[in-house]
Amino acid sequence: MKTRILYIIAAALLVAACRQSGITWTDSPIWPDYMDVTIPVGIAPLNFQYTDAGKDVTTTFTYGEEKVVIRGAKVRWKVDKWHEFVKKAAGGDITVSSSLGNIPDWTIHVSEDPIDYGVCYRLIAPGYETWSKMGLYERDLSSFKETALIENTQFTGCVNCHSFNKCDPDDVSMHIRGPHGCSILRIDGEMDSYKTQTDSTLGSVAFAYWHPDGDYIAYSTNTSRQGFHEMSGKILEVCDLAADVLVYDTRDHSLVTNSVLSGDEFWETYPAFSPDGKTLYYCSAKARHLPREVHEIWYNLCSVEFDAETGRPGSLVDTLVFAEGMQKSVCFPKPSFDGRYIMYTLNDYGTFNVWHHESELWLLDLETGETRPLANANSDDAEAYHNWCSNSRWFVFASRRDNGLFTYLYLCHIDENGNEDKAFMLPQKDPVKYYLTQYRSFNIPEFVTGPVNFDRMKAEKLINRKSKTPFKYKP
Amino acid sequence: MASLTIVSAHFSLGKSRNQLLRYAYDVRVHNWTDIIKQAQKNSPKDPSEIACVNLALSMTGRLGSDMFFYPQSGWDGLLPSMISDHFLPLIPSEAYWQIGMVNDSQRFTFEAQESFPDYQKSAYFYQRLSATNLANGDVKVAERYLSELDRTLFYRGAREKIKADAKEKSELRMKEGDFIFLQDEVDSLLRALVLENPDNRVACDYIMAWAMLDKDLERCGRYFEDIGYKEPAPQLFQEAYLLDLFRRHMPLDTPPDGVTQENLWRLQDVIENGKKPNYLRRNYYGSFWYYYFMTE
Repeated sequence: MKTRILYIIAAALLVAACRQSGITWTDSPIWPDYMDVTIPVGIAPLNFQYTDAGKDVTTTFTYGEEKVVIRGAKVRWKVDKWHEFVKKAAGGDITVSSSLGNIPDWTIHVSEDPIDYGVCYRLIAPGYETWSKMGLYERDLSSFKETALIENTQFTGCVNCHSFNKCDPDDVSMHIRGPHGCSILRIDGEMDSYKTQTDSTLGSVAFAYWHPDGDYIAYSTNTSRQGFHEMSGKILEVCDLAADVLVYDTRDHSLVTNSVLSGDEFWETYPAFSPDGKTLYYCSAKARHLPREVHEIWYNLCSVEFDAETGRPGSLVDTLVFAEGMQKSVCFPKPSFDGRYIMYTLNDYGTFNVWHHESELWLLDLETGETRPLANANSDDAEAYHNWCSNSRWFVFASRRDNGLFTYLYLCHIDENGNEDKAFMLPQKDPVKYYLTQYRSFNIPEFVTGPVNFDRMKAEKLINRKSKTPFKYKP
Repeated sequence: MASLTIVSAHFSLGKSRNQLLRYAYDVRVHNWTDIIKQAQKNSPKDPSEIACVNLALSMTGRLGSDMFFYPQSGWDGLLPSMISDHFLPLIPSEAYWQIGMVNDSQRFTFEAQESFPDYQKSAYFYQRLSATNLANGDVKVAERYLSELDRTLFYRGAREKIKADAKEKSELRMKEGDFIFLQDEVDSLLRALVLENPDNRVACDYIMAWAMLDKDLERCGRYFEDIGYKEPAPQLFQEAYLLDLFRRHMPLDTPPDGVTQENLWRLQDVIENGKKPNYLRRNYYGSFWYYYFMTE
């Protein structure tokens, strides 16, 4: 009798576990929405699911004489078969037809512009001050393989602000926060841990951007505070109480700055080098009284010259985007590697754009001086953490568009004239299951041209060792 | 074997932790009467326990009459600060939820959810996160959590109850203006809430308690007038208000709105006889006046 009861309970539990939710968060007939997107050759299969269809639906992919039919509401490709099919369609359009009469045919354009090997990103719960399991991960864009580079199960704390030198997986900068706070740098395969705070700087270094030569890294150093909103629709605000931009010399571990990149009157953050290494871009805002003046924090996009011989930034500031005049704020300037554009986000105020639902991607054309929003990539929710592919023809970014809280990655093609196509979600093998069970957000995605081959055990030892190599400040 | 495990866990956690767990559980299932009984039997010491008792008193309409019969611990015994723990934040989360400070309830719940040492997730916290997101109008996020609950054996039927709870709290929450949460200025947020909706009884309880615990008569008076009691206010709030009026040398010939004649006479008695040894202890123990004059 007891055994029978146990079996009944087990069966009930199994039934309970097997019940799956439908897709209720989108108006699109398929999810993810892969209709009329542009993809690269070599991308993982764009598996999707119909939001309202039974098992009898068929989906037909056609390119020229080639035709593939997939049955069922969950459209799944075998990876090799997909690659073979898409390769044939390079430069052309795949037509996708559904047997459901109410869905018109759509196309998938296959660009001949290649995409990098993968993206690296952080996965962390979209929380406030606490996180459970989190880490940095590498995703092979041609498959569904995701590999952990480092996770916080290896140390007490969190990892953030990872950065590669123009997508080169061999040069890595990342920060560890917590009791073992430090920065990990891997340069030409050599890894070490560093104490980056000095007596002459605000604190530990934060946002990083590599100089193309690899000899320098521009860092911000920020004294930040979080604030929590009371009104619905807003959750978190992160504000700088002070912020400076520094340049780190990887050869002698020294930090330099100057009066225009540091000081109390303005906050300077989000540095980025131009692809030729001669210009240092950054964001600058007038220092404000907080929290009273939080809505008047407006960062402009500025630049100074950079002399790679001396490792010193210049003092003549050029304002490229005067966002303050529009009562807006620029964050995360990212120059394209072909030197033509700077992509940034624009929000109503403040510095932490991912928590601003109005945050949008904008593009500044350095040749013409024009700047405009990337309408085909933007949504009605926050876009943030964008980065360029090494050939400047693709970019990746994190978006809250799907539910307003959890950020997912989107890829987007952009041509040499700055015309962007429709962004598409990073493919997953079973996207509905993956995203319904993924309670962490993607952030700071960066392309990498090859596997990172990160020695996580060595990194763990370097993080947990007591002594770290110190940065020093050079006046 | 199972019994031995439970017994050994009980002893290994320690009596004080067990007591706190018991309080937190009672808060979770809204056993307000049991919380008060427990406090009468074993006087709470930990600020989190005191916060449970204060919440139970408010939910049973007794904070404004009985709070000073129980140990107090300042603001932390009312709305505890954030602690990185997988169950203690449940207590302030519940208090904020009952007050209608939806975002703060959500924050404490989320932090507790992310603090499980083995990275597991609590269905109870998913319920609260569903509710807070629904109250905020974030339906898609709420649906994520509700979908998870639908897959469980014990919580799949909770959807309608969560929706009803969320609807009720969305009526209480602040509608106008945006504020940034500051732990030291929670009373400012409570005040904004109360000004918008003076019928939010729990918020009124908490803002008055906040000022009284601080012995800040000026704020006691200001908040009492903000609430604008038409009927007699809870006893302790009347006492605090009257003392503020006395401090400001306001005329006290007739009782102001929200105050009874009897309490006016009691104040006069305190003024005349309060300095006599043990007078306040013998006659006014548990009153705000006793708390104000006789405790540190």
